[in-house]
Amino acid sequence: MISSLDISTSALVAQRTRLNAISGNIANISSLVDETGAANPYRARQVVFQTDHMSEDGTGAAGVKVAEILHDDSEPRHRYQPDHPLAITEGKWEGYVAYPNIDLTTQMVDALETTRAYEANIGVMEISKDMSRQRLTILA
Amino acid sequence: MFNPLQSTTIGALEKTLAFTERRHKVLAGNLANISTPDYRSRDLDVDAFQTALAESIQSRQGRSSAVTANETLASNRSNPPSPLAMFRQFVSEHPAASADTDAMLGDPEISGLDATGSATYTMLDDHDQTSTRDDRISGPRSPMEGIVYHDESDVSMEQEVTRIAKNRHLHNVAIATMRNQFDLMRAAITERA
Repeated sequence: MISSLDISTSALVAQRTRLNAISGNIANISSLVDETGAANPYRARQVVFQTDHMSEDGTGAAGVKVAEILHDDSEPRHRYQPDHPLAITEGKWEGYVAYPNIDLTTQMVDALETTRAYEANIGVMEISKDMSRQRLTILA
Repeated sequence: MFNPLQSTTIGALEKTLAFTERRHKVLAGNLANISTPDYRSRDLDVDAFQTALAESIQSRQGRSSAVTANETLASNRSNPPSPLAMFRQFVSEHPAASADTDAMLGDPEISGLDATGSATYTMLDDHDQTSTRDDRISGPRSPMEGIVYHDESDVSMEQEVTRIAKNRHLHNVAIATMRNQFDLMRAAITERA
């Protein structure tokens, strides 16, 4: 038996993960090399949610969980900087530097949406707490 | 009748509480899945619950009035039965009552709607067009009711928040009424107002 507080908590955890990914995307908006030091611009991460069927108890009440974290496969943004040490030396993009393809506006809107969803679930938790408090007053 | 709780509406209020508690969980799940692609909002059908509750209360009233008529006949005799005998008779008439406190407090007819009857609450996804809708779960919604977003989810935060608020109100009303009835009963027992 899963309580309504557990359901809201699952949403808080999921939305927090999403906000972390968005923070990482914004923090790495100018990261040109990957963790091995190779010239490979940062790929934006996107968190995908999924209904948590494990927590379903036949009543239809279900929590949420992170299904997967996708890496953005889109083409990096190229900026012409021939003097840059990481400039591409051959091929079509000669003299260009590959920058991460992260749209700051999209990330900020996603962050706002995540924050609102987080707040909404906090609100539901407050209501759940109020209802169980009211239930206890039957005893008094 | 020996059961003092029979004359109150505490049984019906208890069922209402169990229902609103269940519904709150389902609605909390909707809001938890507000960013989940492909998720369709779920709900328990309030109208179906109210109808079922009203029907069981009516059928119970019909039955208890018959019992009262029998009792009136019995009390016309010079020797009214002792409370213990009445209790034994009650238990023999209602075999479930000895084991099931639910039957003592409320109406056995409503027990299909109680918190233990999880089968009654099997949830239907609106997604699932093949399932039958002959149970007490919310039926098909009109296509205009919820906007479906690009991720095929139809959870609207405003609608969900309103539903949760209404559900909480019903829950708190039931509790307030129940407290009131317990207070009245306590007053009658202690013979103090």
